Amino acid sequence: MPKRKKEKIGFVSTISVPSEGSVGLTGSWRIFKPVLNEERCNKCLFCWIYCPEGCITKDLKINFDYCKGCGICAEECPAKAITMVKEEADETG
Amino acid sequence: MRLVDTGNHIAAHAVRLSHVEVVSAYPITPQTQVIEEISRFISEGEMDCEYIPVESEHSAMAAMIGSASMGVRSFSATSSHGLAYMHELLHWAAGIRLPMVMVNVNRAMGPGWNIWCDHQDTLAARDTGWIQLHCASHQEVLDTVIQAFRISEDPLVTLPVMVCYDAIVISHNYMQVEIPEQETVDKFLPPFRSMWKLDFKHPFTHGSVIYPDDYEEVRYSMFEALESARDVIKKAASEYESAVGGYHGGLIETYQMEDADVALVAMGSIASEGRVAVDELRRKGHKCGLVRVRSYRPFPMQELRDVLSDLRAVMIIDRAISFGMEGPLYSEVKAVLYGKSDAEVYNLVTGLGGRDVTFEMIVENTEAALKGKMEQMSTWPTVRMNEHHMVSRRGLEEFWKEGSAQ
Repeated sequence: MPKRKKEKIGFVSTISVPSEGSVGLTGSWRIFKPVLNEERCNKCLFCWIYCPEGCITKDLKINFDYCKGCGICAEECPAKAITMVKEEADETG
Repeated sequence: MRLVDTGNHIAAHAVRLSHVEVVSAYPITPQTQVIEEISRFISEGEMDCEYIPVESEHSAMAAMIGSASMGVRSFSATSSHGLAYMHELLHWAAGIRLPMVMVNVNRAMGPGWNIWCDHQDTLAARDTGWIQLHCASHQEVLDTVIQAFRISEDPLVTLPVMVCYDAIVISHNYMQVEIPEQETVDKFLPPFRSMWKLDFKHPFTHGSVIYPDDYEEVRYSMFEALESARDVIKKAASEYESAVGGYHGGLIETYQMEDADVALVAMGSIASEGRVAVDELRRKGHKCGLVRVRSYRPFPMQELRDVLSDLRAVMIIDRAISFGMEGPLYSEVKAVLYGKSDAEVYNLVTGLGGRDVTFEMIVENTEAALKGKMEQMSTWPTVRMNEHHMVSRRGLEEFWKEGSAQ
């Protein structure tokens, strides 16, 4: 068999380990921002469970480093306590 | 134990002897008996194995990727359209380097709907990264399935292996086979120790996004693993011979090649018929031999050069066609001989959809080639044009006649 390369590359596979934000701060993709009205909120935690990015904590803090502004939390909120507000130009960069 | 049984049932015995723990499969003619027999083994307590009755071949391979990812020895069986249906997942299984074994009973692709043998299904799955071993006898099916687990699980390889044998000719005919004892097989095939497996305590994803910076290295690693597989396949065959008994060649098997100046090259059961053709050609005074390609991927490049380079003529018999080109085995054997040999290289494309391939036909065409009455290109020696085939033409003519009248 002809020698194609001197060194062997060995086993290489595509493994990724769970980690925070491996493609960077996806919050910069956001156009609309979820704003929580704490007076209307009944703490049902639908937003916490529906957020596809895990950006809402159980004590209802939103991580704007990674929130892409998809609006699922606002859509699912039964108390209509979350509204989507257009970002200011300086906030989105 | 000596058994007279179908090739399909024999394959099931090999799975039983290999301590397979998950079988995930969908029945398709002519493979159904393989998984029927495995179900029977499981229901009668002869196998400690989980059988997953899935709703399609795509799901069969998906479930197998799941079980192999958990470090479990897994098996499936399919054929023809089933193999085509799971094609995407063939790439998946090889791409994340999962050891597993699947039997593919070689059956023609439809339409026209056909449950008989040719190699079109397997050869279409050529570039998925799977190792492909082609068997020519019932005993070889048993021995190769057991060897396939060792090849697949070898740390230098860690790739899925497809064991292929011909529909009806091997799958449904009854032949005598020596079934080895469990203890003997256990000495040859140790329990599966996975290179990696999914683990809740150390979570990671396999087969995730990979950028241009790293993709080529992953593919090169697969390429290298298939190169390494050449020696692993040969070693598995010879160690099986000493541990269990039974040898059917490494990457190739040769017959009467010692003094040959003409060779037939074939895969699968045609190679068994080819032996009869070789005997007949020798009776007629031709120094003919036969080379059977046992491992189609990795392709036996050096082995074929060693046995074919100095010959006068090589006749390659293809049981598949690459439309717009020629017989696929023909192309590859020519590629291997390029710049290394002055042999004349001929090609018969025959036996498609279960068309009978007789030794008389092989002898007649090989003699024609040796007399210079055949061109060095694909020849279809068994294609007929008769009254029966005119029916579809007449149908067309009537259609056009009626169409123009309106």
